Amino acid sequence: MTDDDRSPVSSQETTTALVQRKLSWEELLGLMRAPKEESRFAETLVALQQLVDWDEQILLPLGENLFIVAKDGKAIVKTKAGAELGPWNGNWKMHCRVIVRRTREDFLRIYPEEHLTIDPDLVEIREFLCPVSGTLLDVDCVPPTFPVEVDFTPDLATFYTEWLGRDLPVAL
Amino acid sequence: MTSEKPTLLEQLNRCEQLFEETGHYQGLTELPNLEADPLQFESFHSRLLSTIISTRETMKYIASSPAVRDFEEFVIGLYTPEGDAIALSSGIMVHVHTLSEFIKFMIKNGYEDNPKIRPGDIFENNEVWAGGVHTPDVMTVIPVFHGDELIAWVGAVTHELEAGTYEGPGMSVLTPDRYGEGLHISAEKVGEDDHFRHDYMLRLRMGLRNANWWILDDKAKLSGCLMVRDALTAIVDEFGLDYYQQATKELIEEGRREFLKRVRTTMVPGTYRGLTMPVHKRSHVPFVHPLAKNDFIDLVRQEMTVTGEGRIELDYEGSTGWSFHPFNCAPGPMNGGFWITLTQLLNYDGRVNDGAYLAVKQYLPEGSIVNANYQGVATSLAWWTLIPIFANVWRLMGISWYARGFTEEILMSTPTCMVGVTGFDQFGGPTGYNNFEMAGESFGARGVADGMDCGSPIWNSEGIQGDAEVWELTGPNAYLGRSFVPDHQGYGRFRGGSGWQSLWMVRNSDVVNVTLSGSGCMNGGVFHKGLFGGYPPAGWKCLWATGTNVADLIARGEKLPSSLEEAERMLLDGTITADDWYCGPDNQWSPNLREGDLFGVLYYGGAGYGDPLDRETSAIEKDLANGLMTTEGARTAYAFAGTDPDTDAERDRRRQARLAESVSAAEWWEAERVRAAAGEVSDMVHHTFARSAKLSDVLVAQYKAFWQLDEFPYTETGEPNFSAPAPVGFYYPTSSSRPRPDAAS
Repeated sequence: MTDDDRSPVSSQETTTALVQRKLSWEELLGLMRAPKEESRFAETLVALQQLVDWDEQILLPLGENLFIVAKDGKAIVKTKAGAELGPWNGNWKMHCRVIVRRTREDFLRIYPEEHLTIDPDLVEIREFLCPVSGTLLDVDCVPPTFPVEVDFTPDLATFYTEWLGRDLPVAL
Repeated sequence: MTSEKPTLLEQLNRCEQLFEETGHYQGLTELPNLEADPLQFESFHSRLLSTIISTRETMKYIASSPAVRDFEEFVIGLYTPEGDAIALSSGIMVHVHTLSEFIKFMIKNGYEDNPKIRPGDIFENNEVWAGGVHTPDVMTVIPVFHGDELIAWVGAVTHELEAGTYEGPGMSVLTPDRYGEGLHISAEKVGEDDHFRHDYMLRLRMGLRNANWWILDDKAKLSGCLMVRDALTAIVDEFGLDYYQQATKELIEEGRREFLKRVRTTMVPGTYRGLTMPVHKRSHVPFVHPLAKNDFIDLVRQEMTVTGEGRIELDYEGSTGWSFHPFNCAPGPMNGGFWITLTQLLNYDGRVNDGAYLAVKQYLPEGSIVNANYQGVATSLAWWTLIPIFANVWRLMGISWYARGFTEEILMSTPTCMVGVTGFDQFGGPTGYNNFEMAGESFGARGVADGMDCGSPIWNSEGIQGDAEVWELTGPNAYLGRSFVPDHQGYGRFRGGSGWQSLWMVRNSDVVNVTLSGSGCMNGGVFHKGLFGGYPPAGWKCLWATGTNVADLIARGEKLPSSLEEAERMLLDGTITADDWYCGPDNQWSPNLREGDLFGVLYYGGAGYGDPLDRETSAIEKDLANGLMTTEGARTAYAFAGTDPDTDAERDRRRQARLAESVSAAEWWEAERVRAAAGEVSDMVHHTFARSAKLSDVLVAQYKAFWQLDEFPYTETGEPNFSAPAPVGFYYPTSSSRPRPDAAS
């Protein structure tokens, strides 16, 4: 397939198809090679908003099933299934359901016996679940008793006002 | 007048001063050549880059070592008189800035006066204190003169498979300090008049087991450098010296600006957090230096800040300290690690130069595992720390791209798992080498696809596995099998690349031993977590068996094993007999092996992306058809039940079961706090936390705040309380911790 063979589609349609993982490998390669368009973020928000059943405005995607959204003038973390996990810059994991695997027997629920060499004396696996749907939001592998931390705390104000040149529709 | 020309040191100091004062490379607030004629500027850059890249291709046919000829373990670049990178070839792009540090080291240590820098000189380095990474990465650098003015440096690096280490392979797994990591070339002049000195060649012949590889790679590097030098003469003639000197500066300043712009276009500002915890065990190895006979975890806390300006800053405060092992890092290795990340993830458009270095910053706490400050420190396997650290940075960048909508860019990496072979080769000579088929390891999952099953490692943008026959020629070994390992992948909506394995038989030698190790995944550790609900793979394994009956099996025409699992099964059921054998996850230095004995390694797969229960069934069916998963594995990992409706129903049931099995995080915290207060963990974990606390209170403060405790329960480091001297008497690259507001006030 060459570029000429492609059906003309809008940038929004392409982004929506990307968010829904409906692009072919050839189309994905085209995206990888193309200049990164500034419109991608806004298009991504549009595409993501179509995938959720709730009305709050998505401000930033944090993960496959996790978003920062605007609610009542504040920014909070919300899952795709609708669970609300606290303020945008808080430790959303501590609002999840959690399964902590700390023995070989626990690990064998996930991994085949012949391959399993992770040592539960050194590493525990913490699975953070959406309390509504049971979807896995994140899996941590840490030494036992290591504090729970989130991987990313965005600088929302700088991102919206300085990088995007947009008003942030919430008070931080 | 010649005497009024600034020295290189004055030029370098001026360059650094201008950047400090203006924030622009060489104080360039404007780019007049670029602005006046962008096409000529682009043409000029293309000439430089194509010269570098075509030279690299030619070098490959001059070199003799399999590392260069077959496995792409080399790179060549062009530098300013001050030592800043202008253009770099593909290959081990780790060395954009390590070569830069080597050149600056020579300038800052007075090499202009002694040993002098003259036309035709050849300088060489693998010294970590002079910007190097580890002994096998050998740099060759020549100055380029126009008349009597030094106008450029050309530098090349090859990775040598043998470096004269104590154990034999190029990278030592077990040395406690630099005195066992082989031949050090400490920023030395090794040639004049475009020829290597004979005394240097003699030193290589007597210091190495496979000196021919190093020597012919040196000649390949020198040839490449001379080719670029000649080409530069033509380029300067065509464009003019003034244009060359001004435009090369502009290229670097443009590189800095473009880096900031690209970050602001594709990422999201904020704070990203990663944790790396490679586990090292050596106490079980029967013949190891007393200083190295220990088991420990190196904890590396990573905080990546994307600033409002678009700079990327990495802070490692809270990491554990350096120790008597070869996994330590210093500014040279850390710069190398950062560059492989930047060149592959952000600066992938050919504009690879030191401009990006000016837009990033690494804060490396002195004395920590990322900035060892002992003059005798070993960094032979700095990669065993660098690879998981920077793979985690790749993962964190993936989070940023996801937030910005550039999902197609998300890519995770994998550990490197390594076999080192020592002894006498099939020709009767001494040998030592690392098998670089590890350069074809899988990727972690991407944001839009599964990880490649046989891909490229984090440390070489062009890495390849290579032909098995090349490795059979390289050393006294024959492949019994090289195959994918079913179910060995980080599970996720998109899975990590599949693990694969190799099993060898010693052939045509009765004196061989092997080191078996990995980066961040061995000894019961986990390389790093996945993304957004994906899992890491199940673990790592290696195997050796000595005094086997395999030669008898061959004589009788019976079946031989073709994988680690099969060899292990045959050893367990007695089909293969052995005087001694091991199959498991711990680092190994085998006993002597001889004809017919076995060794093997599992190349750990990549981490997964997204909830495994979101994986498309068609992808699972493809893996089943290709033998990358078993039916049982697919059921356990993905709740795969054959048909879409059955799988959907099973997944619904599985999600409900998860919720039923889980507790609220608050409830878990209440119960776990008791354990955290008492510090009820294994000795190795206790020591890890205590070693972090010895250098910094960051983890202590985080721990006490999270668990709401007054006391930090971890006090025993499990290691001698040593204080070792730093180098004195010369300049070397340094770094330090990020200034903290409370410390400044």
